Amino acid sequence: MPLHLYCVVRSDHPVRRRLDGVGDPPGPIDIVRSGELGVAASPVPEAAELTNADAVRHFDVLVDMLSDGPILPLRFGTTAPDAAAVINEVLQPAAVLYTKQLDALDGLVELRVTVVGRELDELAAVAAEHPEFRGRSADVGELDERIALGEAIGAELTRRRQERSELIIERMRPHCVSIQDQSNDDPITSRVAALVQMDQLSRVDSAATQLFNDLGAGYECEYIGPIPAADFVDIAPPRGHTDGAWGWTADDEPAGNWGWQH
Amino acid sequence: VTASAAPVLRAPRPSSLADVLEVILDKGIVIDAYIRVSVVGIELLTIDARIVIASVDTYLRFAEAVNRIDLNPRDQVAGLPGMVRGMTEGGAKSKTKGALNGVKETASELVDYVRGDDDSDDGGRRLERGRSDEPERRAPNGRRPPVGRGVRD
Repeated sequence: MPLHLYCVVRSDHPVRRRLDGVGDPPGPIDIVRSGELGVAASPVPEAAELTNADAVRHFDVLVDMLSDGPILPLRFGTTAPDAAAVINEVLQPAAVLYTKQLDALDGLVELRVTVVGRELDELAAVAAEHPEFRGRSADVGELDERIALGEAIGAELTRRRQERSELIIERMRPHCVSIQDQSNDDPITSRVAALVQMDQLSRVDSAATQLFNDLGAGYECEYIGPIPAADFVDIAPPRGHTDGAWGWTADDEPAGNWGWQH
Repeated sequence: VTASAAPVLRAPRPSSLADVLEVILDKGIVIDAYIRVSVVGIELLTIDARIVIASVDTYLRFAEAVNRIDLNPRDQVAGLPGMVRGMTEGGAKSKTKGALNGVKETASELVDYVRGDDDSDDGGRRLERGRSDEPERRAPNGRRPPVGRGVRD
């Protein structure tokens, strides 16, 4: 039976079975071990199609396993024909690398803050700050003028969003190992990811509480974690060891490769 | 830390499926040798969610919304977000007042523009469009009519 793969772990990582695996019917999660490493996996039917519910389950399994120690997530949808393939093709080609990455992530988790503004409020604020945007002929103007106006407004929304991201980062940074703005092109949504030591969680919680209070009811705040610190480790595929693109060449890798500088 | 601070509830996972998918699809080890199970439909969903933002439709919506906000200046004040860094209440009020004046002026100028536009030929229009951006954006208080001067010059 094929195996759905969740994450690389240390071989002594506990198997709690608090959650079943993905698929219908769901199978029990086990660890396929080789030396110091293992891969969390559960059996899935042949030719299984993964659903949205499976995506959520996969995520939950990662978070659950993270509570017992460091994990390196495998991309959702990775399957192996059998346990031997897991050992030969996943673990053995990159065993040294995975061991180092697990050590580096030990005790660290990721937290995410998402702050979403109300579009109308944000537009009103932009209009108040920029008289030149107002009263322009949105109904009668040429199409390209209206688009240009909208673009200029979008740029202002983005600037406001960046200020909010900076505020979030400023408030949380003192308690984090690393923190980065991960906002995409949504101009009213700030996304920040923080790498945090487990024993600092309560401090970050306090900072987040204060931040959300200060932002007020006009912003919808989501605070997620702990999740695997995937944003802070370059978990590249183990192909192309020679190109050095991911900085894990042989024995010596400077700490800076992790990008954890404050 | 103030006494009023309520405890923050950390959620174990994002409320939106797109955010869950971003974590498990964009990140993590990729093993080339393996079959990817059919997650194609799911991947498209995340991509869709990202493209929508920077579209012409969005820009037109912004432009129209800001235009509409002008017509309801009171809503505009009430709608200002509670916390903007460094903005005092007095500052916000004076800005709003300026905004109201700006509306009136621009509106009357708009009437001129529309009238003038009816008379102008195609050549004039092209000229207007080409010249509209630069001086207008830099003019203080947005008093510059969108295109009128292009014709008169």
